[in-house]
Amino acid sequence: MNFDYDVIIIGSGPGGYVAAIRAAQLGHKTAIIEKDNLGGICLNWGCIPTKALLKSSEIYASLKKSDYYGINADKVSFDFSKIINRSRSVAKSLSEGINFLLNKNKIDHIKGDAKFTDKNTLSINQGIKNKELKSKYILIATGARARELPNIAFSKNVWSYKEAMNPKEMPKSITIVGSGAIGIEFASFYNSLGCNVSVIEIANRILPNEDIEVSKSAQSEFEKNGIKFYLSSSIKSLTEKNNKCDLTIVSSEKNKTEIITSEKIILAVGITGNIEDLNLEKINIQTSEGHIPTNKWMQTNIENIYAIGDVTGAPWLAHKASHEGVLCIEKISGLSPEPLNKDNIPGCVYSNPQIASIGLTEKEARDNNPNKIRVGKFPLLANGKAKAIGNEVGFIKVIYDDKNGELLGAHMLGDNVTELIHGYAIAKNMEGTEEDIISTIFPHPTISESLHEAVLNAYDMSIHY
Amino acid sequence: MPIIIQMPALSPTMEVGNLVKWLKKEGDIVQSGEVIAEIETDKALMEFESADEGILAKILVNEGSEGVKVNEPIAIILKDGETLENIESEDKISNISISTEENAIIENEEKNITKETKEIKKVEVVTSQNNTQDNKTFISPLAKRLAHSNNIDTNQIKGTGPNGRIIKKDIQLLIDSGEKATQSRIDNLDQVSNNFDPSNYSVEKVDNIRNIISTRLQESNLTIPSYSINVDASIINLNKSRANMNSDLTENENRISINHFLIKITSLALINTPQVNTTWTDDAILKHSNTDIGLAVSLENGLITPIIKNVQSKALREIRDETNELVLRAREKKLNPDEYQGGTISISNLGSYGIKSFNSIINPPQSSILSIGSSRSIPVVKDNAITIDEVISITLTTDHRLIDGAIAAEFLIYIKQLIENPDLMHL
Repeated sequence: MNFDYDVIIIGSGPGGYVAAIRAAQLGHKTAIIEKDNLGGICLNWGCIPTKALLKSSEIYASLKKSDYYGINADKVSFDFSKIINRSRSVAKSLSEGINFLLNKNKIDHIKGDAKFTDKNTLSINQGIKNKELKSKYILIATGARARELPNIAFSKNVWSYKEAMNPKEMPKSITIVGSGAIGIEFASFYNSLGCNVSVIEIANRILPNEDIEVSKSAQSEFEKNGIKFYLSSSIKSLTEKNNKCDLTIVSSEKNKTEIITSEKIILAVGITGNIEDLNLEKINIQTSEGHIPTNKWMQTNIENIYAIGDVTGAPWLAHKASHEGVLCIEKISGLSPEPLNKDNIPGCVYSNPQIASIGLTEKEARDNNPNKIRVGKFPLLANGKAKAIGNEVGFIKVIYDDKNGELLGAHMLGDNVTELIHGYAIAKNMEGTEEDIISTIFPHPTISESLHEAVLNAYDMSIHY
Repeated sequence: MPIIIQMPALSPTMEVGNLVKWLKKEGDIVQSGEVIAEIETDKALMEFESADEGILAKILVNEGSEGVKVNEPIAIILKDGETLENIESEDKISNISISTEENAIIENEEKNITKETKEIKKVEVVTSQNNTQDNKTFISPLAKRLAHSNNIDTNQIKGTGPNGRIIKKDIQLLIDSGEKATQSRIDNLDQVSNNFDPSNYSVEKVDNIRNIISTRLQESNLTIPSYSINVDASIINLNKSRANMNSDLTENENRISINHFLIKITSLALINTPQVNTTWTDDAILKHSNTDIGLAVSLENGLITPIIKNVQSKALREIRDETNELVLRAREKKLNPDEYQGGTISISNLGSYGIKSFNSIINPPQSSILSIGSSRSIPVVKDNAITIDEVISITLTTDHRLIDGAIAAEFLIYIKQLIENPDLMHL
């Protein structure tokens, strides 16, 4: 068979474009198909623009407590549309950056909707015309989209992350359904700007995938900032009236019904893979609960077709998608990459304060680790730098295998901890033991010293606590 | 190029073998065709001849090792002027050890499952100087600690991490494979042995032969819908014939035995009733033109059924010689696998033990088995008078998928007729 390309990648998110660049580097004739803006959700509607928004809200929050630092900043106010526009322009410039990277690596960027006609052929709908392209390998990197609830669909007042990120004006009150990373980040953003925020969570704690201690402490910090939480609660019904939404919720613990009224609702109850429009049935690609299962090399049940990123299932993280993209391209090219170890994928929540974690929670470690565990903890309150900059909220927690000294998990809550988690990620990936961290010299004064102290604490060697 | 000697597949079903003995030491010169090791396979102790010549530079699997996988490297032979360094480059041994065919299978299986065995193989392959080039073992801190606390020598391990680094997984696989083997045996033992007082029994390891017997007979009993029919045959005439033949034969080993006769008679019956001379497969029935007949031989610690092949074209004397030779080698555990595999029927004779009659379990892939009891005198009514007859009981156990009752009866009665009137054999 004559192929137009060695590798075609469907979708240009952080999985797709990274895979394309790696494929081009390894000498494959590569094309990337994108129906929308380059960069996928991450660059356009996810990771990046939300961080831009959160930075604005963070500055606003800091300015409001400027007095504490001896700064006079009266009449602090914000221009909501400017905040939104800045976020949009950051997304746009990064998307243009992807275009530059694709050109630099001689990757063909094809606009349109791709459908499989056979296992090597894609039909690309470009509006007026259709184009057929054949490729030896095809990577599905179509990502995922926000899920609706059976009894609530998206509407003018019921937003997905996309609308939540690009509103025309600032709502006075918002109810967020779901307290995962996305829900909590929007809660933090709108709360910092003075909006009345309620969060509804079906589990009995917020951020249910995090360590219990992190969930509890984070909740109490968020509550101090004024966010209201309704836990163990599910949605019964929604009544929309012009600019008002009445959400009826049922609490399974208190066994009572409550009505929460707000201007807008954000649904952040998880995502579902974009698998519908690819004609997967035609070539019999297996799917499972809205996602495409793969083996450890990201290969689907069809030999030459791979799938990476959100479309393959949880955890839905951009950095996981990028890693998978590189991994499968290297495998196709005959290199010997290491398969992805899910215990080594860090997760971050950009709330105020931030949350970062890697590996097992304390409960998972207690339940599943064959050996006894050791837990160490260090409050940022005891860290000099945190005190100096006035960000004493939060803690660092580590979990070790008592017998081997294996770092099983690490959990952090506090200012900028998302920039600290990689320290443990490197140690974990290199299979460092407690000794490797204990013998490492951490710079003073930094918050990173807390990483050292948490491990010392696990081995009863704490100096500053 | 150094030659990697792999565990040979000495029979089509062999997956693992036991390296019983090395007949050469490291440093010995090996000639092509020379026996270098003894390997115990499914059922036999085999001599392993080297196909290559050179110096046996390195023994990778020590004698006494059990369950060595087919194609696993067991030794290295070097030609003149070669040194072990020639093979130290990355992965060479493991590359050679996995044949291309197997590789394809592994690639395919990797689609869905982690091919643990391949990983184990990769880990266990020993490159004697892998890590010693600069006297530094490239190992992760965690792997190092695990190896240390489990007394594992890391010099013997080939890492699977980045740049061949030994990582936790490599050590864990070694620990697990050791533990799994012991654990599964102990678990099994525990379940059954709980019923007994430990002071009243001793524990004996299940050896290879016993394992094979157990799997094959269990398979037979579970998968073959078998039934048995039984008849007495007068042996007086056959014994007379035998006595005539043997009267001139002074040497014991030259004597024609009842078994030799039975093998010949069974062959004739198979020709007469070809439906019995068949093999069941899930897709088709194989109808054989030659008659290959097994004879159950009891060993010190088991039994084996050497096959006398092409009996239809052999005279009694040839059957005698071949049977005697096979039985002798069976008792020494020196049969080649093709000498005890195949056939359509076996004969099991417990006559010498004084058993009157019994039935046996079919030896797959055969269709039937004949169980012969001891000869005994019985009163019979003949011409209105009671006389004494000498009979043996013959039980045919057969596979109903292939052979219906009427066919089985025809087959067994034909055998009875030939035994009672051996002259018919010459028709």
